[in-house]
Amino acid sequence: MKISGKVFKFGNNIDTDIIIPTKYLVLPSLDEMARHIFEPLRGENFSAQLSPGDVITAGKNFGCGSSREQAVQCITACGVKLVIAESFSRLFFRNCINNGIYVIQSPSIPGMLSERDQVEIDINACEVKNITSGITAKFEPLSDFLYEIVQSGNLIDYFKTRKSW
Amino acid sequence: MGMTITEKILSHAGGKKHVSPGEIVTITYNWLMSNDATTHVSINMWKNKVKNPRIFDPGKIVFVIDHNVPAENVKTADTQKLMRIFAREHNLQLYDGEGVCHQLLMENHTLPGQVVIGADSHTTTAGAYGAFGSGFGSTDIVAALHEGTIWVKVPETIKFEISGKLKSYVTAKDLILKMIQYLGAKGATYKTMEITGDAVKDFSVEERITLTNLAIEAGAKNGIIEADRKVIDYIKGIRGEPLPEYTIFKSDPDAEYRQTFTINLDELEPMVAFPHTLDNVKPLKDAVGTKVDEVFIGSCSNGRIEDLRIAAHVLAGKKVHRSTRLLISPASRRVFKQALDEGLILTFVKAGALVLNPNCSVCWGACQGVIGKDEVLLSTGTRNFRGRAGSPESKIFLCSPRTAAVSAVTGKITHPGEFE
Repeated sequence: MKISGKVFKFGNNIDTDIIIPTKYLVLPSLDEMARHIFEPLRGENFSAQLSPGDVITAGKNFGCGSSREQAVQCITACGVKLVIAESFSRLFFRNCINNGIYVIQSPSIPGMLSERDQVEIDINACEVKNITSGITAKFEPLSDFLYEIVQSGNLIDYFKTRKSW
Repeated sequence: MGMTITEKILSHAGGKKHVSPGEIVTITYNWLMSNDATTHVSINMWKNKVKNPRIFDPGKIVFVIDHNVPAENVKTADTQKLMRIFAREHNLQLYDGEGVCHQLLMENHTLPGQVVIGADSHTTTAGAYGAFGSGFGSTDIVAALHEGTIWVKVPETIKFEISGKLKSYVTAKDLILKMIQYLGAKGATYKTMEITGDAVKDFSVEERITLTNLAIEAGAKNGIIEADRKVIDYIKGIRGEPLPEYTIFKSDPDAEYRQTFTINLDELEPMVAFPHTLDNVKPLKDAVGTKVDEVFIGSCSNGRIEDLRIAAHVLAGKKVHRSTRLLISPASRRVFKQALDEGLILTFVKAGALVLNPNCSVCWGACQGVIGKDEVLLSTGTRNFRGRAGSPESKIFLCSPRTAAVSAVTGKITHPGEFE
């Protein structure tokens, strides 16, 4: 599987209240919620800049804070299928996997990506290629069990293919 | 190789003799809790994605409406309605406006040795009874509702050995803030924080609850304290006798720890988490003099009867400063009633505090006590993230109930040891 798109870059300790502020959690649909993604940091129209295939990268402890899965689902709703960070909060990591987002945890790769760089990620080859800068790096793949859930698109779909859900 | 308490609980719940850190086990939970912040997400998923919906064991499911109580707008009302109908249709236990979910689990459900999974990060609270409690997302919750089980990776354990004695004006909240300062906001990610030592045995059960409640703020998967007689007596005091069967697990002497920290309480001073991250913890003296617009005492972190007693002791015969608002929300209806019986509520009202119904309240910043641009909130709550209690341009400082109460009187952050 290959993913290619633009990079959107964030710093350390980006919490779930920043990804989707509390006050929007009551909005009835994910699409409405997703319009407010990263609003405290990037203002009101950030979601319009995201296209399918784009990649979000962050520093340490990405997604810390609450267990609100809407944070991850809003990212999915914007078409983002892959996130790269130096490290993740446990809940956010788990929620990404369960919603079909591929997760790359790497101390060095976020540092070789800048805002709006064009990137191509080859998941089978475990390779991130920064088209803009020409730099390529290898990453540690997810375990087979977790990758199967990601490939199913969702934990529930994963179960469906195996059980009578 | 010996096992830690957490490893023993997970191996027991997973039907295994032995587990080691890193291993993935599928465990059977005793309680699954979901609240009004996210349950509608799970219900919609349940309706739209699961073809043959069936709740594995409705008797283990606890729904709590606690985040926006009472509903502040139509959208919230509709969301909560969805939850009430689902609970009724599936014959699930529903607490509606009776208190904060973690407090209600501790009062009515959790027992030593059990597994509690919750759709809320502060589910780590369960660890104060020697139980495994951890937070999960909505998809995990839907899968767990259906399966009766959930997969977890067995965490490594970081041990904290606590010795010494707290000064009269220092509390368990100051200790957990100190621990988060040691670890940083991600220092315990994917790991267990096991809190042990003679000082913890001396702690009341409610003080222990404050410790495990905030373990997640260092990123921990769970926080845990070995259960003892005090825990059993505390639970019996609330629920009466006899209790259902429970197991007290203890870490083996040769259990393996990733790291061990020691803290001597004799040296601990009051601590404050500065805006906008939990690990931005500094000694309280660094914040002294900061003017506060609003003070909040409550939440699953510090809304129990002992916290309210501390606040009432400070506020008796005093007035809240005229440039400050003091909001107090007991963590449950049971705590509220006890505070009424003990006369604490009258003390708060006489002091000029706003006493609110039990709910997540100001700590969650959606329906009560929202703060404006450039305002400063001093809170006993669980989080101080940017904008969590209102404006993105506001500031939240976190502290103990004692520090909160004295600061409400002076109108600025005040050292409780220097009050009066």
